[in-house]
Amino acid sequence: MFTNLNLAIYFLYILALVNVVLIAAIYIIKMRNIKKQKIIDYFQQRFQDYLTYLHVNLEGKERLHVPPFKMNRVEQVALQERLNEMIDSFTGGASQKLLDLCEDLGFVHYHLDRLQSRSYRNKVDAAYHLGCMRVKEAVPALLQFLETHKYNSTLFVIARSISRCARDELDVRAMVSILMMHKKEFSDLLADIIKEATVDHAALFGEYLQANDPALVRLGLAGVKEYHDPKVSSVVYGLLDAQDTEIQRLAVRIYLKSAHFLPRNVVNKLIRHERVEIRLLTIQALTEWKHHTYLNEMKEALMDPDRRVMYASAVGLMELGQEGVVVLCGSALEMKGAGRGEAIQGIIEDEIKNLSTKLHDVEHLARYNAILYTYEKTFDENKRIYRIV
Amino acid sequence: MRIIEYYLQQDSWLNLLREFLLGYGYLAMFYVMAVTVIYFLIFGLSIRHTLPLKRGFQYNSIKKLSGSEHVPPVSLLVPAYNEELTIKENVRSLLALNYPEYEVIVVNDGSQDDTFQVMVKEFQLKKVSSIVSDAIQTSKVRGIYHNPEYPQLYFIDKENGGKADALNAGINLSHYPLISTIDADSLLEKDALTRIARVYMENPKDTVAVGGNVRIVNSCTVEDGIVKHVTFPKKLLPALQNVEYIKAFLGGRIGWSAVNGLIIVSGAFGVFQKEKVIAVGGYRGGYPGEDMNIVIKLHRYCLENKIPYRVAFCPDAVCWTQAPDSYRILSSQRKRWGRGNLKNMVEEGFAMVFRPRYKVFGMLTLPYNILFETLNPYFRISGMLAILAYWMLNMTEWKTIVVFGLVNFLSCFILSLGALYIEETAFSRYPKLSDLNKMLFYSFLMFIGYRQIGVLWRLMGHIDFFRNNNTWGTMVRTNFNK
Repeated sequence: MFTNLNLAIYFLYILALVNVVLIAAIYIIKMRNIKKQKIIDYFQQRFQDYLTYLHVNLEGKERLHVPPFKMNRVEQVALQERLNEMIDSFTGGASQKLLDLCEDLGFVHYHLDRLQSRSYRNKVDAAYHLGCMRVKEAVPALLQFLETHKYNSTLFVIARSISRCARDELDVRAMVSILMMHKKEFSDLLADIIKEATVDHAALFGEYLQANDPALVRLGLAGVKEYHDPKVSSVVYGLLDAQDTEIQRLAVRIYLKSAHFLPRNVVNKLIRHERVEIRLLTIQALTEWKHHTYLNEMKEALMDPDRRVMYASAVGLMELGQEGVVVLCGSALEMKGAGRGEAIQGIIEDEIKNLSTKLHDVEHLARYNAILYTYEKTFDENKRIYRIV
Repeated sequence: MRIIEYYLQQDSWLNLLREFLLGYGYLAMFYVMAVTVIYFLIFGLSIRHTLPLKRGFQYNSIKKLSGSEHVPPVSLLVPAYNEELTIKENVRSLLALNYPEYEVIVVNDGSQDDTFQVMVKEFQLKKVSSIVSDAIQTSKVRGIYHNPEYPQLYFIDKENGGKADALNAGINLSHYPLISTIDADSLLEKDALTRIARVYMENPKDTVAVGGNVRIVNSCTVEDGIVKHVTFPKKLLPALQNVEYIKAFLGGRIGWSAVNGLIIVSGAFGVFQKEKVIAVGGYRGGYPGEDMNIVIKLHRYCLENKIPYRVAFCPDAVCWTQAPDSYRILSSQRKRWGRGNLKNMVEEGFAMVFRPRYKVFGMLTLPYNILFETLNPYFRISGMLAILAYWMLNMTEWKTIVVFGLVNFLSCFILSLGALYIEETAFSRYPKLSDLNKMLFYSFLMFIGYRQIGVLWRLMGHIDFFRNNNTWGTMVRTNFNK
């Protein structure tokens, strides 16, 4: 069999060399990591007093002093990391004093210079730190960097830095419009990033809710999803019939959460909606409301073709107290013999059983009596009814 | 026939054998070259993507994100079969995650031990009547248990139907659009879910699955379900598996995910879009390898329906798992993996391989998997026999065999070193220099016996497949901190 053994031997030498180089590289990296960790550990000791000084003087009016000794680069990085954490943890005057300290330490100037560097690695590192230090003058360069950056994780690092440094809403809008060019649906992440900016978020998200671009509407919805403001409900009301199913789902959810009053026609429309998740959301919202006004709507939902809606409605009716339990037991009796009637009866029985283990609590005791009384009155008319007192 | 007659006429059947062996030699040479090229390509991609990945998790504030109302809610599904020793600690660790909105659904898959009693007693669970979706058919659910004092925790007790069936039951009960599968013998790091959520949030519509990184917990110190002190495994088999996992996860999966060709999201820890999992019919029951099967089905579904998608890998989201520390359990696990792999290729892979409509997955991932994973034992064993024959028929000399053996070893060792390079550059989870020494030593040791026996286990798994032996095999659980 022909084999070019010499060629194989040469190849073997090359492979051996690559192996040796790689082993050396791995050990060098390891030693560097160990050394770095040692310096960080040493930093903890050396800077103990200085960090205590920072914490003690954060509230005062006096400007914070820089450390009274020289630092090497690794120590500077370690101090910067600690300051970044502190800036994130404090607000107002304390945070501003830390930002001023970063400037006095030369960190701001250093990273502004690095942002102009040709090295991509340095630029990203600088962008991150400038964001942590809320350096407003870095915004134009950061926007430029963002515009030319490809779509990957680092894109969001730069975007977050812009948001943190933003001088006004225009900066945030510029950042959003650049990100939107990538045509990916990262509305929740973007809303989280926007909330880092010191601008009026509600106004900004409100504007996006009224935009024509569905991506911006989604961003607006993601931004206001935890708001409990009636103004929000009036803005999202217009989106309840949106064509985009995701927008519609989010709009219904926010509307039900933020509205302080639900018009009956809207409840009727939502409770008969073709999409089961919308019906389920509505019932869950009505359950949280615990309002007798919607008793009939909840009773109607017991007939819903989807068993989850029926179950949610039964739970909601039980939450409504005596009146709800009467309706629930009555409906179960009407449907007796059918699977649905049995299921509702089972839900009531489970609740009675569950409450019977918590009779030491007065609230549970009262609830137990109310449900048991109605249940036995409905299903077992001849049985003598006892109440636990 | 004519060729055979010719050789018979020449009365030289040895020549026929020599010709055959020579032909096989060329085939094997091209096979080895092809596998090496693909290995290096994927490793190259892994190394290339290490720094961008590192930047991603270094600069994106995980601490802030873990308190954000914008991270998506997740349902954690924990299938449990005879997990009485680890289930308490596992569930406690899951309940203590730094994540804003999630639920833990433990599914007792008809355990023979006290898993049910341990769960009910530890968390004071009561049976509730809950209406669950019937999106996926499962074995009979005996009951759903809940305790309002642990509002995030649900416990399903069902008849035995296998891991896939348990996961499907969990999906039916889950309330959130994302599901995460976690093995009951594994521990999630506190921020692992947030780290995976970050990757998902960057492209939520297209991301159908994100896999986490699995590391070996043996010899580590575990307190209250949290890995407090990372130590390199002290026993031989877990140590070998440790370097093997590092190589597979860091050296392989980073690269495969870069080209959207990831074929597996580890069953120990992964996150999926529930809607898509239901669309492909849920997990395939009745056979091991359901974690690979679901990913193949997701690729197929998205590619056939022209849905833009990606299967991502998040190496900084860490799940610690117990590695088998005895020969018997390890062999049983590896046979099961071999059987599952073959089943997946027969069931899904062969229909998709070399078909351009399946893009990278059909043109690169599946050919690689079939030729170099599924058929690997046959090439390896026949290769060994061929070398023996070359020597016996005086077709080669020992020097040639040694040189080619060394070329093979050194080129494979580069891949092990590449994985260690990624580990040290981006993660450095084992802080001591002695840990690196051990990793290097065990990377070397893998080539002496461990890899060879692995081939044998895989072959035995194939034999089990052909004999329709579908048992789960030996699996013994021990406490963490062992």
